[in-house]
Order: sequence, then structure tokens, then C-alpha cells
Amino acid sequence: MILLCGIPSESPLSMVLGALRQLKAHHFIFNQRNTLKMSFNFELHDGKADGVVEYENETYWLHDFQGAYVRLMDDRFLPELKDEADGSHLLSHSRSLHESLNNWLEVTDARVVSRPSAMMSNNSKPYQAQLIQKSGLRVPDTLITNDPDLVEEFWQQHRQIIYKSISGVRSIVRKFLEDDLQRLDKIRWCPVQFQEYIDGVNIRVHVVGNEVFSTLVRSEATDYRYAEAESGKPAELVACDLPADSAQRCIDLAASLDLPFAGIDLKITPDGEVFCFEVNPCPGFSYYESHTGQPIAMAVARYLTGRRAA
Amino acid sequence: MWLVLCHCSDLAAIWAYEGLKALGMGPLELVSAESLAFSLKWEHRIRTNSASFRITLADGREIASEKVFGALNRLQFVPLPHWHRASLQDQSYVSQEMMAFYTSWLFSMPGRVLNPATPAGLSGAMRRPLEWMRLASQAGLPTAGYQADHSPLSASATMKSVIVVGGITPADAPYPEACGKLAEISKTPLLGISFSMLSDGTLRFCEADTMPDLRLGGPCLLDSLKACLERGLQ
Repeated sequence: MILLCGIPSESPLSMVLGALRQLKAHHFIFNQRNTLKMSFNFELHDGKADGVVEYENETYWLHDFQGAYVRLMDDRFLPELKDEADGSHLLSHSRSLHESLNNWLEVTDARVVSRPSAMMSNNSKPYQAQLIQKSGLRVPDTLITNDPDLVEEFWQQHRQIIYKSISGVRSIVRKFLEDDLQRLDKIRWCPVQFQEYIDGVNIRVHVVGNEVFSTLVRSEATDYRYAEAESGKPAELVACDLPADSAQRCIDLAASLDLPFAGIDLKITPDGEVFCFEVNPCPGFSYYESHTGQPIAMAVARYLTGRRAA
Repeated sequence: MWLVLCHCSDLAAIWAYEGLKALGMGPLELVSAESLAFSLKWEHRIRTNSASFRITLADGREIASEKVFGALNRLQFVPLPHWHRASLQDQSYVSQEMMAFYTSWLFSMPGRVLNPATPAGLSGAMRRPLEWMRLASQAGLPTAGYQADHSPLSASATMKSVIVVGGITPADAPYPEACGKLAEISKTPLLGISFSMLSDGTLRFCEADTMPDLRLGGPCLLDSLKACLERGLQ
């Protein structure tokens, strides 16, 4: 039995659900849209967690779940709850239910993709970059500062630099342009992250256990996620092969971050150097799978069920 | 230099600073979270093989990673006094950015750090009580059962506290090997562990704390802190 947590119509969850059906694997969906009709309780004895989840007169034992795939959204923004007043009964129930689920995900022996604590490393991109360094992958030169002079020096040194958020808050990566020098004084109030611009091709690597799926992304935009808005042309995605040593480093990196499933952003320079930008601990892989046909959802489903690739 | 990083209200850290100074540890700098908040200049760099930081405080002191031997790190959050009048949205963004920034520069601290920064806490991972319970069980400590919505912790009176420093437990600690193991598997070299006593007199794991009251360890703890920090130089 596999536990799927999130909203079933959301693409990645829907694709993993489809793959589990193909494998004829039993599953239960912790559907966040139905959490008000659900209960989730467990106990921990001698380090082992067990309990039940109940939904519409059905009871499922937590010890029957051998795997869990997690794509939870912030429950405060669920349509059923977004208009609820702080402290309302429904909000409290939802909070308590999600808290119990997250607690269980943290301590269960089931294969969890991925545990809440393991998903925290990209809350700080430069922290994560230091972990990436240790895995043997190169990271771009990075400067975080509130000193305009240092930024100007960094810009002169690298000729082309970008800036982006330090935290996990999603931000659009932007190139630093000469005009930006005039507003550099604003960084005195809060340090900003600058990075050398790396020229080359973007590769998105999805690691699922020991399996690697690499996608080449052709785009002229600085941040290919916003290619259409930035350059008028959507990014082109093609399945590709990664050099064996780089593939192994990606597997090792994901393992070192306790992530059975990770989306790793690489760039390969014209000289063949491999740079790693960041690791997404909960990758929205459906965008890549739908463009390339790479069987990523099936790999996740196999991992969850403990089955090996054919 | 050695660093003691703490909040102004952290009397235990200030006690440790005074104690370590009296033991001849130097140069030793006490740097408060509140003074860091008003730093004039921040510089944190990450290169392919290295990470470094340089901070110029408002009082003129400069803290550069290449001059740091190690640290007692008790920072828990980033005070942002100069952002109080900003919009809530801006405050929220800055708060996340600064936490992410502190996590990184603290993680790049050279030498022995008690405790290293993690994304789950600036001075060691803040875990849920049942995560500690599970880790304690894995480490070999006797634990109580835990019900998700009825924590047993509130009902238990703490009877014994132990502070593990760099794998060393006090001579009178119960289950010394398991205590050391808990600090090791939780990657928390400075860890407070509390036990409650059952009616038959046996001690059972109650809770763990990444910010123990260091004063409870007395002079022996200061010796352990000094020895542990200095081991990082070897």
C-alpha cells in the first residue's frame, strides 16, 4: 500500500498515481481537499510508529504503507479553508491533521519521498551550495553582501553576473546590468546573492534512488522557467545522457541530502565543465516528463513499492 | 579568535563566555545577535572549494572566517529591528532571506562549532519531540510511548539533566554511551538530555535540547567546552 499526499489533480501526483495503477499497487490518497472528513492518529513505541488514517468509514493501518509520496500544499490556502477565520474549528482540525501526518512522515520506516526535514536544505541556497561542493560538483562563484563596492568588483571580475534570492522563496534569476549599478545602494538594508553567470547548456537531472533521468534544456533565457515571457520562445526540452561520473555525483548528492527523489539543476560549459546550481527536493517533474517521455513517474512509483527497474 | 555567538538574554552563554575567558581561552569574542543585526558590512563568498565570511560590526570589530578557530554558537533567530516599520510582506521576505543567509555563513564557520547551523535551526536542528523520542530510542535510551496528540512530556517531571559536549558525557550521566550516541546521530555535538524517573527508580528519556542551560554543567562543563573547541584545532 502506498500513501499519496496532496491534491490528486496536481500533475506530478497524478502521474505517480497513474504509474502506481499501472503497477497494480494499492494506494490511498491523503487528498487535501477532503481532509475535513479525515482523521490521522498514530503512536510511537520503542521508536516504531503505528496508527490509522480514517476516511469515509474506511480505516487504513499506517504499518501497511510501505511508501509515501508527498506533494502537500500549504493547507491554509486550500479553497475549503482560505476564508476561515484564524483559530476556527475547521482550520484547527486541518492544522492538527497535517501536523500528525508530517510527524508520521518524519519517523515512519516507510520509503518517504521525501521526509519534511530532508526538504529543508534548499531553504538556504548558499547553504545547499556548500553541501553540493562536498559532493564534488562545481558551484558558481557566489557573493552575498550588502556592500555595493564589493558587487561592482565582483561584476568587473566576472563580466557577467546574476542575482537571485538566498532563501527558498521562488525568485526569477536576473542578469545584473550596468543600469543596476545605480540602485545598488538598496542592498545595504538586506544582503543580496550574486553569482557568476555560467555560459552553457542547462541540464535538469532527476534522480530517483539510483536511477538518473537527464533533460537538456535549450533556451536563450537567463531563467528558462520563464523563457516564453523573457525571450518570446518556450524552452525546448530533450532527453539526454549525462557523463557517467556526473551521473554518479548526482546520485551521491541526492543520497547525501537524504532525498530519494531530487531535481538537480546543472549547466555544462562549452569546455565540458559541470556546474551545479541547486537541488530541488520536491521536483515538479511533470513538465520534463511530458516534454521528453522520460518515465520519471514510473521510477518514483517503483521506488515507492520497492520494485527494481526492468 | 574564538567566538561566542548568542542573544543578549542568553545568560548561560554569557556565563560560558566568562568561564572560558577565565580558563585562558583567547582571543575570545562575545558577539550578540543584536549587534550582528546592525553590522555595517557583510561579505559571504562561496567558491568551488571554499566558503568564507567577513563581517564588520557597528562597534568596529571585524570577524573574518580565516581568523576564527571555532565557536560556541547559540543563535536562534535573526533580529531585524530596523525592519519593524516595513510592510508585513517585506518583513516576511527579509526574515526568510536573513535566516537563509545566517544558515549559510554560520555553516561556513571553520573549526569546531557547538552547534553547527542547519536549515532546521541556526544552532542545531530543532526537532519535534517525537523525532527526539525516535532518535533516543535508536541511540539505545529507554523512552516512553508517544501519542501524536497527547505528548507525555508535559506530564513528566524532569529528574536528571545531562549535557553532552563533543561526545563526552559527565561521569555521573545515566546511559553515557547512549547519550553520546544520541548527540552523534542527531549531529548535535552540544546536546542537553533530560530524563524522568519512573516509580521503580529507573530513568527514562524525556527530552533533548540543542540550547541547554550550560550553567547546570558547572566548571566541568567549561573544561569540556574548552577541550572540545580546542580539539578542532588539531
